[in-house]
Amino acid sequence: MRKTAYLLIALMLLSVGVFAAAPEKVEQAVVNLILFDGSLWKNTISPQEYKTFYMMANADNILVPTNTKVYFWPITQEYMADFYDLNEEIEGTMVVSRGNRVIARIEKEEYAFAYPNGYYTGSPQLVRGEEAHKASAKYKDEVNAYYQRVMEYQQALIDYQVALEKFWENPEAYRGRESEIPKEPKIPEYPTYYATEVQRGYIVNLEPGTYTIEIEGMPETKRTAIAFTPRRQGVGYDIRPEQQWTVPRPSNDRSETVYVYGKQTIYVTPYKGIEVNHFMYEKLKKLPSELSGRGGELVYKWMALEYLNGGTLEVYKDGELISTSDFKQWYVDQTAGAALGYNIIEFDPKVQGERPPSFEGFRVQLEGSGRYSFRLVDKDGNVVQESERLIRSIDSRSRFFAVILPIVPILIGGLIWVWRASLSATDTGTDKTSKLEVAKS
Amino acid sequence: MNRFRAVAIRAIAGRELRSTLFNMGIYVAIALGLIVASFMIYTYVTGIMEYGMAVMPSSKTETRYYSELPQSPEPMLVPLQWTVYIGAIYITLSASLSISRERDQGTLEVLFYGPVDSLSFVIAKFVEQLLSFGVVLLFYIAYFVVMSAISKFALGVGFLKMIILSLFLAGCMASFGMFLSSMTRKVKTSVILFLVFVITFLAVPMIHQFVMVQYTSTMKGAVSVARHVTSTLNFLVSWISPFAYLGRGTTAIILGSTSELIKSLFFSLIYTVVFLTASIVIFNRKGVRR
Repeated sequence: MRKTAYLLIALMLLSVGVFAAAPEKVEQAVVNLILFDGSLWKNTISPQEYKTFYMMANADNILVPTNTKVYFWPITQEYMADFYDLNEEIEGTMVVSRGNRVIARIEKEEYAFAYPNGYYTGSPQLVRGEEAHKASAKYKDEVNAYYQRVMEYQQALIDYQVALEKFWENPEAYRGRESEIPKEPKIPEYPTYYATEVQRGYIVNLEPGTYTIEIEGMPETKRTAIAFTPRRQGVGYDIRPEQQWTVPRPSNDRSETVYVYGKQTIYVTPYKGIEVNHFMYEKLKKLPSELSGRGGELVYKWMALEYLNGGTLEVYKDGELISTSDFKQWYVDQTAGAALGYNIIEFDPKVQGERPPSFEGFRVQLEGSGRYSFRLVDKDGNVVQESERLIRSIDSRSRFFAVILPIVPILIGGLIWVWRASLSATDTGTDKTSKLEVAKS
Repeated sequence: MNRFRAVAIRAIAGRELRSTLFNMGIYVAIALGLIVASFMIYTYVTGIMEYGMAVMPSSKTETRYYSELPQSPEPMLVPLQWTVYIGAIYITLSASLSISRERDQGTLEVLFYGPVDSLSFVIAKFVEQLLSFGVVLLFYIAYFVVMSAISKFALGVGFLKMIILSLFLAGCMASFGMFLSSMTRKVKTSVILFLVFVITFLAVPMIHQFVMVQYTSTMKGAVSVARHVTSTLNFLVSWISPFAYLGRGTTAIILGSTSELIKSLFFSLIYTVVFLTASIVIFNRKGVRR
């Protein structure tokens, strides 16, 4: 009895630990990975539990070995680093080996990411060394200039309000002097250009293969890097039928066929695509997760990267060029009245004012029956590889035949049955004697 | 194999094939397969007519708009897969009756007075099932070629691969059916065994999938036990069920993995040999008498 009581007390004490919500943090050397995914740089970590990481070959990737505290987060089944608790970058020379051969010794260098078209649009650029300082300084200068413009704007706004009050005291006095009527100052625009702070890391650019990477003399930083390339690259399209423009259908592979019905207008927006191994690509984006990429070792999938602007789209019918379409911006204009409806018109900033275009792309008009195809031609007149797509116009009669054709085997079976019945009637069947034939043979 | 065996196999297989073709069963099975295929094609065509267009991708796709699209292979591939399933079920039923019916009717004993042994008999029955499936497949191919010409849905490389894969599946199904048939003396028992196994093979993966996606905040223990049980059953079924071999082959076709497809064909072949050998051994033990 007493033993049971002790056991229960021991279990209760142990259960306190079981129900603890805060995960245990362990200090260790991780490698902070800033890896290129084809258009952007994604951040993940390689803790001691995940010593093999995946990265794009022939692209600049940044590695930053760091001492930090790592914990396992059971809700998302992944290891996480608490850089706020501990963040000590490890210094030294990074040695990159392939097999037993050292292929590179890399020193830490300064870098920054510049976004010439803004943080949310376009691809960033990795700038290194002095260029990184210049990019970061340029952004700071532009921000300072912006705040200067804001201050000027505030002053101009006060002046405007004073002038406006004066104007309203006697508007008639301005008759014939309309140009002197006070005008509201324009709100200054925030700079489009953006650049990150200058940081330090090991910039690694490797050919496809498996490598060992470590900081010299620090075995805890040793990692295996697998550099991979996309299986295929090509042009993908977002294809919108006119009647459902909000639901574009992706077409990534030239082996895919676009099926249309009847006279149809479609809008085609091209983008750069890469076909990558699902497992490796997911691990590139989120390495220390038990779930990322699981089961995708054999799966290849297309990833849509940046949109391709410009060029022309050549449309063929039965091998003959029937039209070319230019890349344009389109605006979805809602029809007037309470009833729902819209027209897709060419975007014109003079007409649409500050409203943005609804989407961009090529318009393709199909007449109905026939075998169409289209392909992308760049600004220099060259056909873009892997940009061809076949369009097949389906026939509605196929629904009728889909109903009729399954009856055919029954008819054949029925005819054979009738024929057999007639043979039996005349007693000329072969089946009855066949077993004897086999026995004789 | 000696000359007498070859003659016996040819004679028995020919007789059985004639018998199969002169019965309505095979035509009903073909029609059932075509009805399922027609339903799918009808749905595709209606979808395109309503939406205006469709893109039939050949691999997994990820875009800015969807985190991940479901796999959508060539338009004729899924209908063909289902017709093959139905054709293969017919072959299994036919094979599972092939030995037990002859034994039940007493014709087996008569047959073995001639130069027929267990090996030639089992092989002949197996060949007949394959030939019957070939006839079924010819109907299916003709149907899909006609429907492709009318609807304009493309018949791609995947279609051809699926046809080849289906022949291997037929081998698996026929050998499995004959294995069941060799174990029983009565037709009724064969039919019951066939139904039990086919339902198990189709139901276990479905139940397993259902259990795996259940929300576990309540009845955690029960769901956990059910998951373990169905996982074990599903593992067993994935090796025993001929449908699992077709499933793996189809996945390989959709993913475009030639190595996985070859692996799938190879395992199908081993499966066929194992079950045929087992059929011959059991047939020898049970004998030819009623």
